[in-house]
Amino acid sequence: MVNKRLEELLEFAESTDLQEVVWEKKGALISFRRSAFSDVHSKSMETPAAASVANEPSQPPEPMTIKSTMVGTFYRSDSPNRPPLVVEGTVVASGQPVAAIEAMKIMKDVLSPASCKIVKALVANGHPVEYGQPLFEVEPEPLTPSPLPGERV
Amino acid sequence: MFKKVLIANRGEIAVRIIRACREMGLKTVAVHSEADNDSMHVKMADESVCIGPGPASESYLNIPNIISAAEISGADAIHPGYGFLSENPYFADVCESCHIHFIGPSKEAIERMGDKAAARETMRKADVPIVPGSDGPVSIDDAGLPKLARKIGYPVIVKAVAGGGGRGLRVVANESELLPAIEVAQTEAKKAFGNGDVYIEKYIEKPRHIEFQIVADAKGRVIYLPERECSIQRRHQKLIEESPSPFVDSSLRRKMGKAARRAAEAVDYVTVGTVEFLVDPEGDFYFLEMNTRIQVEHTVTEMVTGLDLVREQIRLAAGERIAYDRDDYPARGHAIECRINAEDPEHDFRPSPGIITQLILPGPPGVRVDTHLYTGYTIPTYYDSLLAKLIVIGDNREEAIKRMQRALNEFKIDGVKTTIPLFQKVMEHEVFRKGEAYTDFIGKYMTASTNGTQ
Repeated sequence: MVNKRLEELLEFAESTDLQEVVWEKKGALISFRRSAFSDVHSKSMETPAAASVANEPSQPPEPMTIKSTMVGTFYRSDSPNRPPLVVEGTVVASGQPVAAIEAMKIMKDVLSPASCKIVKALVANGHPVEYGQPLFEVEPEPLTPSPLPGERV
Repeated sequence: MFKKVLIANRGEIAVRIIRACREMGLKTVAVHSEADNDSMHVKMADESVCIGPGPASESYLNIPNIISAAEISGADAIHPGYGFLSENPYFADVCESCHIHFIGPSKEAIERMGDKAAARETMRKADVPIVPGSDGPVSIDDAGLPKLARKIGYPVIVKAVAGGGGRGLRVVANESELLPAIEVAQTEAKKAFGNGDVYIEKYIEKPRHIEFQIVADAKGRVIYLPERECSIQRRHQKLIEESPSPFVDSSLRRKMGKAARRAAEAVDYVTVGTVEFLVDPEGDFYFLEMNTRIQVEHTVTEMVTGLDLVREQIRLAAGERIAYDRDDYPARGHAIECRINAEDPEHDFRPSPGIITQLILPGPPGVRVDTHLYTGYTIPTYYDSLLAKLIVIGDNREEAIKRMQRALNEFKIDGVKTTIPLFQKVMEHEVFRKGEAYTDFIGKYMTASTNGTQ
């Protein structure tokens, strides 16, 4: 159904000479921008339904990732005795903690920028991370979040 | 001695510091922004950590990320270079509280020299000459004002407390102009800065900018090195530096060097620093400010002394002592530096970012180039425009100028506009060749001719 809506939007965009079309509804956002090769692309994390639709699908799209926003030591859980906050297959909502980074003796949560499914962790527990380093490979997942592993009260 | 040094900077100075560390057997950690992923310092260091996006406020000025980078990499010292966090007392303080050595003076020394009014007062107490002037803002209702101006000696200059960029400045030649000039300056300052406070000080005609590199150890020993003359400036940005100064003789050198030493001693200075003076044609000199860091132009001093000042700075920060006995240091030969910037001198020095399509460096004898450039490098738009420092040394000034002309001629940087053509003109200029350039040289002699409208 989402794809049908996408097709409609594409048709509409092509029928006009607009340079850019933005469609937004219930937190989802799709934008088309005309370029020399009339690429059609979607804004990565905010448009889970429309993952990288391109006219020339020759190159595989780069996997979506959750990136580090700070420098520090990466932890899969927010406390040494707890299980990882997320594992492979966990579906998380936008703003949900997926890991923690310790810097200057302070733990800070890494929040998912959008609802998505964790495909795999890219950094091992306890390893240093730099700014902008991909932490998790994810795929878009518009559905309700699954219960957390080791759900806490 | 430290084991691993994190360099909280970029560009040529980061490269310079990595080189010194490597020769000292110290491991290096480069930090960089996303815009500097392909920078020379990142390629050269043993390790690198990305600390933020392009804007400096989010990367090279981002204290938490820099400290975290030191922690995850196990660096036990941070070299701040120049600019960015190098004169930030808070940063020096954070380093200390995180048990990381800050390669520089104490936070107190940075603080006391960073506050202009406090520095002036400290210098006055240490018997270092300061530009005579009013202590703080003046008011036209103050009946003692004309007397104060007479005591300072005309001409005097009226300056805005919140000033900068030449606005709110008025030169006053005699007493009848004094009060009107203050009124105008107050109005201008109010309009430009929202603060109408102005002060007066002696106006120095034909000023030269001459500075002394000092070296100080934790035992309280301070020595001074041969002076640098940095009078060729554009909007208070130095363009050419040389050592020794064509103006300073040995007796003035001793007098100024000793004053520089007193300045450093007054704030218990440790490591390397620079005391800047304005010097008038009579040889009277006045304290301008102290730079509490390694400077861009430390290179000319290295050329005439044979010292490695970055190595000295690291050694002294680690608590080691000055290794020679004399209190001053003789200069051997004459060194000149040109700062090659990515700017277009034909269009009011507008920045010229881009890709370096070809780079050909000038070669020996007597030539040194400090740069982070390589062919194919893209100059990011976020940072300053310094591309390279070209330094030459000759037996005397005349030989150094000839060598600089030869080196400028060989230097090819394709892809961006640079200040090389400007320096070729300066080297040919009679006033410069005679060693009679003051701080107004570029504005006075170079602006029209570099516009091609001479």
